[in-house]
Amino acid sequence: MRYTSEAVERAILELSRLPSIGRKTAQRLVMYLLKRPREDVARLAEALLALKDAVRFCRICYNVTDEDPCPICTSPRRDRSLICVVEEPNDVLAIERTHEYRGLYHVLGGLISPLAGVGPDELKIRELIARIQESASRGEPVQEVILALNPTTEGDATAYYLARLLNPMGVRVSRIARGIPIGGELEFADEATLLRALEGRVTLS
Amino acid sequence: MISKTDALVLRALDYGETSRIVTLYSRRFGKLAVMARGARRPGSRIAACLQPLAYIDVVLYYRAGRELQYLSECAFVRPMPRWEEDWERRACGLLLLEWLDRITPSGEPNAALFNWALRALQSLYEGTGQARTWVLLFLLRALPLIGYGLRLEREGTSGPWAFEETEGRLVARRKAGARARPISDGAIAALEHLIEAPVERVQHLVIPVRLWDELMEHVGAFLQAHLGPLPPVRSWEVFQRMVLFKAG
Ligand SMILES: [Zn+2]
Repeated sequence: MRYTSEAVERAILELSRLPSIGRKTAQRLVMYLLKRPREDVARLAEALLALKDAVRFCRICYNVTDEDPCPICTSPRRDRSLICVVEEPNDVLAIERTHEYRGLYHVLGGLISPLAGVGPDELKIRELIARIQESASRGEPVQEVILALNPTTEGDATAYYLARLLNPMGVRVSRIARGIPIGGELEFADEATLLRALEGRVTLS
Repeated sequence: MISKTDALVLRALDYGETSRIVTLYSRRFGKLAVMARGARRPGSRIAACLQPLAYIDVVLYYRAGRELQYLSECAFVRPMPRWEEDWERRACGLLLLEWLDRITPSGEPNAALFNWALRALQSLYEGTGQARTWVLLFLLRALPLIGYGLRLEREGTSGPWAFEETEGRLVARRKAGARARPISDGAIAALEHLIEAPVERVQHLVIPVRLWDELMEHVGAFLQAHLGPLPPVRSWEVFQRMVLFKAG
């Protein structure tokens, strides 16, 4: 069924483009928003626009940040010889919560996913390689790249693909141990599990 | 109704905060979409089973006619393949899975096709035969199981030949219309072999890349002519890009 209001239809269409939101859910959200006072809806609209206008991606690690480069990349207390590669910004948060990891990050922005048509070009892989090469030419070479990728088929494919690209560059490539349940997600792992996984990482060669 | 079946996971999509919707090709119900509530919750053991290529036993709350079924339990029948660096086999496994998805309508069980898909994937897992050959072999021998056997009869006495995808036959090129697809003699010989020879033997057939591309095109055209427009195959192109990817 279609609504007679063009504005309602447009809102439903835009909302149903979001992941895991179907037309029915979008309809419910739109009906809810219609009943809210204008200020509430304006706040939501502003928050959404601020996402695009204020939040940026760090030009070094591609984490979300308000300042570019991000505070982690510019911090003098961070170990620059260590890069932890993660799928999404949420994974940086999860690892930061352990308060143990002192290295830098690199956010890929996804995993290699052939069935979804996502290959290396869609991810920040080229940027990771360039970053490692540049670190060597600056005289503070990256020694180890830790792959903290979910233990799924896609995470495996991405990890082995990266290992194959990075090993010839003389960098140690390790993968966090399988403390994370297979098929599970880093984002949901508790700090203790994540810490054990980081400490028990294994070298890929 | 609580129902048990074994199934191959064709696709998986995260849903909401902790759930996942998977498309299964099952022995008992054919292709169906299943909601796995809480599959991505920490400590959940079922997420590992709900990845493309997994071969699993599932317990469902099944109601006929419903668009989405609900998962109660699942377990591996056979562990996930560990293909690590074998991109060729990984790519062929996913390609085969995508084609299986494309040629199967929802809700129509087909035990023969199910067993044949299992056998083809098992051969890929074990590394028996040539990976690319298995993709073609799977497709060509799946055709009669879905009612579209390719017989490759010839109309005319001598080549060069064209392939008429609507009829699945060979027509002398000079007699065929302007829209007929030219087919090489190598492709005809390979097709005949793949359709008729014993699987144990033909699985070892080494097919050069260009010939393989040509064969996949013909088979794809034949399937589109019978099943209607099919969604594009994505995985193969991604694997090509992975092989060609230059970091510098
Ligand atoms: Zn940064």
